[in-house]
Amino acid sequence: MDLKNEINKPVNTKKTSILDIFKGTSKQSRSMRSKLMLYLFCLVLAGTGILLLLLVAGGVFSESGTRLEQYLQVHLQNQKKDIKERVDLFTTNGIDLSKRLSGFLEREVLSYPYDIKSLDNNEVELRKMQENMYLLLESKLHVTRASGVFAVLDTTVNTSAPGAEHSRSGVYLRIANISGNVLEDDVFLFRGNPNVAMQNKIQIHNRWNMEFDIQNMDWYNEQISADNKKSLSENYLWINRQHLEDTWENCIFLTIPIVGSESGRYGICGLEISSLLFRLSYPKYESKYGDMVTIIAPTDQGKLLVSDGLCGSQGSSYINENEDLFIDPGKTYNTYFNAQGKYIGIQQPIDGVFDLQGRQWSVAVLVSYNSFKEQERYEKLVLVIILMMFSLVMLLISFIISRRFVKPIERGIENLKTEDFYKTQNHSGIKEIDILAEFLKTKEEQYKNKGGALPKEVEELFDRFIENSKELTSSERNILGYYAKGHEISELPDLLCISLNTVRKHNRNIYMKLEVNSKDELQIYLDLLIRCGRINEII
Amino acid sequence: MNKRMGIIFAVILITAIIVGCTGFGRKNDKPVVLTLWHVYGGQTDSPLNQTIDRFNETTGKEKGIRIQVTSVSNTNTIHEAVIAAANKEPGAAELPDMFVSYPKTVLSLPDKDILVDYKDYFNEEELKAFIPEFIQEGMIDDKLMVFPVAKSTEILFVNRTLFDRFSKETGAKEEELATWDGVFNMAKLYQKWSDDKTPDIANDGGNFFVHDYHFNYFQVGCESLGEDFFSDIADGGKLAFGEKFKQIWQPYANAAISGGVWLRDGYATEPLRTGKAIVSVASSASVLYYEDVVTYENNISEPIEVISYPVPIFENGKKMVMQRGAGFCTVKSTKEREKAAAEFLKWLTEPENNIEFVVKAGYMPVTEKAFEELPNASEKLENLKYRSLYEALAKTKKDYTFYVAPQLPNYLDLEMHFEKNVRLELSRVEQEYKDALQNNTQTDINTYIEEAYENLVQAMK
Repeated sequence: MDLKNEINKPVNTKKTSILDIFKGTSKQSRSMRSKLMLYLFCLVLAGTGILLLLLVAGGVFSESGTRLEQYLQVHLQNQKKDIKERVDLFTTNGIDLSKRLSGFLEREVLSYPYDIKSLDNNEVELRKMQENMYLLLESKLHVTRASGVFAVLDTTVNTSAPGAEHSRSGVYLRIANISGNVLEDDVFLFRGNPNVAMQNKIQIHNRWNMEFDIQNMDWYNEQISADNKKSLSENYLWINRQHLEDTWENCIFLTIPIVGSESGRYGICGLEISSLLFRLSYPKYESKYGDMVTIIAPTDQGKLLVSDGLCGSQGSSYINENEDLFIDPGKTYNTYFNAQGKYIGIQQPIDGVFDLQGRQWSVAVLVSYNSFKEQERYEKLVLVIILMMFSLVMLLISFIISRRFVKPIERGIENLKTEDFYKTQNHSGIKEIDILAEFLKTKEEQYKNKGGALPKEVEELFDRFIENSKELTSSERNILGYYAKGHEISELPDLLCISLNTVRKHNRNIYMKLEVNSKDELQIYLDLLIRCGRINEII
Repeated sequence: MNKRMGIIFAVILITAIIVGCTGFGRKNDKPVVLTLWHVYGGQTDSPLNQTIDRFNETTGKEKGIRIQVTSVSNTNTIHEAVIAAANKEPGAAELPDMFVSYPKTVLSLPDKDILVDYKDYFNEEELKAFIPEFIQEGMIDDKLMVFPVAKSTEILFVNRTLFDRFSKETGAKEEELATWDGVFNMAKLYQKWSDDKTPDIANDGGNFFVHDYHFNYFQVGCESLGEDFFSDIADGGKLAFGEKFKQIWQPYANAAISGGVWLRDGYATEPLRTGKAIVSVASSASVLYYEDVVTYENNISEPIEVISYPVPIFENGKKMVMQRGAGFCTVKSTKEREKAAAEFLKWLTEPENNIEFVVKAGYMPVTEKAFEELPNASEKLENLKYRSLYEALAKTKKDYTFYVAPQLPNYLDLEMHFEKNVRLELSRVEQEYKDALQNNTQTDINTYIEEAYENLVQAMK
């Protein structure tokens, strides 16, 4: 190997890889590019960290919860407004119905002193009265768009019939078919004299009965009681969900006593909302967190009593309508749960809606906990992926920037390493490198102008050493050449195919002729001559 | 190289951990919710709803399918709602995923292609398990669009308690109800017998017989006597009003004008429930609606026994009976939803589930295997009304030919017009005849029968 080339070899020509950045941290010497890239990446990581902190502080990671609450609030307000309007419509029409029935009874049927019991066993009068009540009831049914309307009078057509003590005369009309949002006009007679149906050309219900059985109406006696002195506007009740006997339907009722002008109670009247009507009137609201379900139900002791109320259509948020829900109140929304499932939702009381037990009814909107969590996880994943992508892109940018930044510096250093860099006028494009090149050039010129720039005593020593070397034999010169290349004494027997003793003999002659005392001293001379570029004068 | 692989592996591992922690790729556990309008149960406690509840709690839960019943009504109401929805009429309800209807509803749709062809979800082997006639009835344009789940037929129901009372005094026999002539003669006899109960009130005799569908009486009657009930089928179809029609009109109108037949609108359940008629011909599914009591206007209720017989026949006529019972239609949507609907129907028509449902609702099952198992199931029925019904159904299946109404686009229109006009015309003429009897003017009933016939023919034109 040529000694010159060996000396002029670049210090580090290895390409920098991403791995070097991480590895470089444990090394004493690191490339400028690795360091720069590391600094840039640390900067990006710090920036990402700050961004993350800002996102956390700004509530981006709890955004799903906030947004769900907003959705729930908006939906709840809409539903509440609609339900309140409907409740008011029912209440005003129910009270109006009660007043009209009372007036009609006193005007057309009863005679003073008004006693509803005077109609007992009076088949003809009761039939006539029911026929007259029909139009009023039917009009209320259509005005309110309820699923049923009824009026029960505290009298019976046959006091000697079995079960007469629980049997009360009256009319109960039900909408024949409820499908979609369109209520069919067909009406069935559910309770009442079949002649009422015949006269009005309607059919009797498949589970028709002549009279009401008040055993199934535990609120009846409370409302009919003479002790009840409340005014009509205070005395209406919402009755918890009841199964309509022998049918597949469940209903809630608004009931109002029929109060006479002298505070006598003639019976009760009211309106029905079937679970089907409610389900179709309050369809599920599809949100990205799952289908929102509307429920109206009484609340009591931390529970939403779903089994007493009505559920809107459920979609994928399945709620068992026969199981009450425990409420775990939260800051922004509540958690509702029972053995069947867990839900997230909010609720608000409906003004003026109380049941027989005095419990306040509320409207609630609920969404399945699982579907919300699924969506929340998805949204967080998207954020994490975005941050990861951002970091990766930043790493790539750091890599490119550091490469572009270091490249001209490396090139400049390479130029400085060439022997005759001072002869050329290359500009690196980097001010600091160019200043360094200028400095080195000046130094080189000074060195040249001073004739080697070595101190005089050293110069004389070098000259004598070179002069003495002329006395060396060709073998000794050859050995000296190997020492100049950095080989050790022990390597020479193999390289020259001579014995070590012969080498030692040549060494002694070399030391003597060159006036040196040791191999180390000889090596210093050789190194200095190499550095001064005068080695070729002795070899 | 190894280091690079290590980095790639680390990146994959980190990604997998993040993905795993965030739950991405988790199986979507939201059930497929299918809405359904059906007719099984009407206003009563619906047996299909109970069966659906069982499906939702078991197989439905496993397979992520939930059936939500959003309406239980009757085929006419569903027909109107479906047509309104399909035509996107203002205020019309949205079509459900599944609805129960007759082929006549499908034929009336503006675009039949909105419905699923079940042949895409049932292979030939599966369809072979069904009674071929039932499958055939649901085929429209070579596509299976109306899937059979339960089939009914017409049955003669008798309030035996009241019949026995009448029979005891008049000598009328249940066996006479085997022919239409027997039924109509008995109707006249019953009218007179009940009229005589209150000698002080003239012409207040009760109705003896009620038919759910007069249209079916005439249609099956004509066909059983070998005459086409419809004519000009290629041009849309109309009623033929042939000789046989007039032949079977005669006894029917005679009994009706005499006051022995209930002519009001609606199903036969009403007069039977109030004791205003004691014999009916109606769908076997009516058994669900017949109560075991009769309630009179004085609010006295009387327990009754209801028994069933195959429908009466005409002398020299074939033993023929109308095959009834609508089927399930599925509205096209996503493949996932359509498949879920098919899964539900497969479950519902498995013999065990099918029998459980049909015997509660008075229907016949739809597969050969379920039919084989039906006698065992019906023998176990504790309710005599249901046991009698299934005995009558077994006799019907053995002795009668099922008649399937032709698929005419205007079938429903014809049926509705005919039904309305027959009832209206006979009621009007009945009143005229009553008035004549009261005033002792024209009392030849044949004049009224002829008048009603001419008016009916005129009205149907």
